[in-house]
Amino acid sequence: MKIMLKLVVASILVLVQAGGCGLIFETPPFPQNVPTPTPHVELQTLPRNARVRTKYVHPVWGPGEIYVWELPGLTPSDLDSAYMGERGNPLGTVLEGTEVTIVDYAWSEADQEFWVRIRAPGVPEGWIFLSELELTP
Amino acid sequence: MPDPGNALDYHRYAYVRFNPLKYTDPSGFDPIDAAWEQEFYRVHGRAPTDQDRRDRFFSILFPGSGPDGSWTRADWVNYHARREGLWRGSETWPGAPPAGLDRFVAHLQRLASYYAPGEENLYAQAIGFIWGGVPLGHAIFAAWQMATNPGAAWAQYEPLFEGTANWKPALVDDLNPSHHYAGLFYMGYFFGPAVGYVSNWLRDGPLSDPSIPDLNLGYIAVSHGAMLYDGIISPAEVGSAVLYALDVRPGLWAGDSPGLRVPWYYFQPWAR
Repeated sequence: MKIMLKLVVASILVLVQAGGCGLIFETPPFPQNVPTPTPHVELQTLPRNARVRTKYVHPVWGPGEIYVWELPGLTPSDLDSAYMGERGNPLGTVLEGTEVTIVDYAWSEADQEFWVRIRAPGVPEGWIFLSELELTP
Repeated sequence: MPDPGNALDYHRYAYVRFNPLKYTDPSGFDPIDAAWEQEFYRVHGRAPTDQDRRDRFFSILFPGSGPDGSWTRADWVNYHARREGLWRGSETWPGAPPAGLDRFVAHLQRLASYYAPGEENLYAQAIGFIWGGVPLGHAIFAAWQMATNPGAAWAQYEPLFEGTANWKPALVDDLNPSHHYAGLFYMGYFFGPAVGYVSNWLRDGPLSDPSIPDLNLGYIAVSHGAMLYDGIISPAEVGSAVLYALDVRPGLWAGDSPGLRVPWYYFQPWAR
């Protein structure tokens, strides 16, 4: 009987909260209303040149590739589900070491990072994390 | 074996005591079994963390550059240099199928090959862990954390990014729907279809912001989890069930398939 009672209680707990009843528990899953930080001084004059940071060159596969996204990862429209910001679709990839031009920037609350819009050869203009780049003169 | 003196054994989903970690690995093929943990300790001089377990799972899901997809030292260096970006989908992994449903299915099937009959609970837990960001541990506590503060769980263990290519649009709510599938699959397996369906409805239905794609996907995922628990599909068939129910391309499945063997009470009108 005691075990059955525990089972019932456990089920109720799951039912109540697995619904993500944010109505009951005020624990927003994402940082919200965080002031946008001051943009890096390097971004205040655009366009400017940069290079995709090379993390490692694999002896068989060569340099890595990173996705270029349609949208910057801003606050997701559905906080209950979209755990990352809205990025749209991947437009293609750029190889590490590629020279690019930064033409715009945006702060993403979802990622707590700056995104930058880049022009790069072989891929439509799109967005990547600023942290993927090293700025060049 | 059910114990006639224990009331929990008469409840199908209480049979695992909502505690996936309690169960051992009879086959020894579990990718994070005791043998692997001991070997890890021998090499690193410490017990593996959950992050180490995630790294281990990644090396199983994605082929390396060595013979037969084995991982070389260079692959591990490459992985550690890009780990964060690989998990959150900003970086690509050479040799992997393109991001999308095909890659998700390929990963489910690679993972399934590590589990023998009788280890379905370990497989279900791994799915929740890898794609759902479900913390390892007691299922009730894990479900609680997922529901009350998924952001905290995901900040620590972001679900593996798989993309949306070839997913039925009616099932896609964001750019990585596999995380939603995995969370509800976990609920369906460890808590059963009734609790799973109601949780899904509460989570994305009228009590929350209605999200029809997530509702649709959640029902299918709960069904699949419960079907795995009931032995209607095996771990090796979960990938096929996903293809059958979630793939936008028609005609992938014909004749006998896990999807066609779904009993009437596994309500999934969107699967066809």
